[in-house]
Amino acid sequence: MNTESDVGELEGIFFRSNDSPRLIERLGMKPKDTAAEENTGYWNLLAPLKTSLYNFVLKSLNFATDADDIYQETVLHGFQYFASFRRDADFRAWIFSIAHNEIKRHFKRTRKQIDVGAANIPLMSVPQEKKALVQEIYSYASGLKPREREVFFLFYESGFAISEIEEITNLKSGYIKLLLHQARTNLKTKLGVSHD
Amino acid sequence: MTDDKRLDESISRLVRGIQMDIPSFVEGEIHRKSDALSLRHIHPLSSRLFWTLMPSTAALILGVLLLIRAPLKSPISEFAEIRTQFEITDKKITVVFYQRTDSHHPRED
Repeated sequence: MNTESDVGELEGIFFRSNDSPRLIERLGMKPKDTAAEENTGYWNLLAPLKTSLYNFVLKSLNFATDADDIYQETVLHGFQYFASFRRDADFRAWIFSIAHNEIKRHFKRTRKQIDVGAANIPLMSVPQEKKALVQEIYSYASGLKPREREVFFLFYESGFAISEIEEITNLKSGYIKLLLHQARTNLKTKLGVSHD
Repeated sequence: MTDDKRLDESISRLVRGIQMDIPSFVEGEIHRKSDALSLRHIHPLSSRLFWTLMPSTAALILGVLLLIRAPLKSPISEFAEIRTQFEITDKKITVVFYQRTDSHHPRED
């Protein structure tokens, strides 16, 4: 049954090149080549975003070790559901939406275990003269509610615009603006306006 | 507005001052699991195959069961006898009428 004319497989069922493409489509099967191309496409799109995505997850979870699992879940869910991704849509916003959902699910699951105390901030790579300021920023972020912290890092870490954050988190733009205004007001005094 | 922009840039620079690399074991685990997913060819549309085949399979099984069940069902047995009973309690008499299948009325002879 598995001959060279077989072009696709789904859970042990083979179909041949002369099988109706509409039938194949209706059954949700994909030719092997198409599936492989799609997989490659996913990893190619993800490659330049990986570190940014990982750091967003890590920081949104206050540098908790669970971040590794959440990042892993995000990447695997993206891989699994890549077929549903509209090719004309923004992949970056799409994958960060998945990350947002995974983070949300994580906090829902571990609601009673959330530690809002000072995060274990890895300051090793930060230059000595900036350590205090970076510490201030991350201390402020660690005191935010999970949803607010996500908005904070989507804006300041990942560089998303308010409209994109709105799309990723499903929060109203007015609320996002308010959160960012609060962050500015709080950090302005700590950092000093003249800081550059 | 310009002040806000400058402040945003400063905050961004400080936030991005910490950049962590993805641990290699996490990368390894992702590759291992994604390979397993690829082998299984998991695809959201593949569930359509299940939902296409499931009702027809269920109907087929039901039909087969009904066909098998029909001959197995024992035929309706004939009445072996017709029996009527009543008691005259004050006289401690029990009257039983019954008609057996092998019985016949004398007038029929």
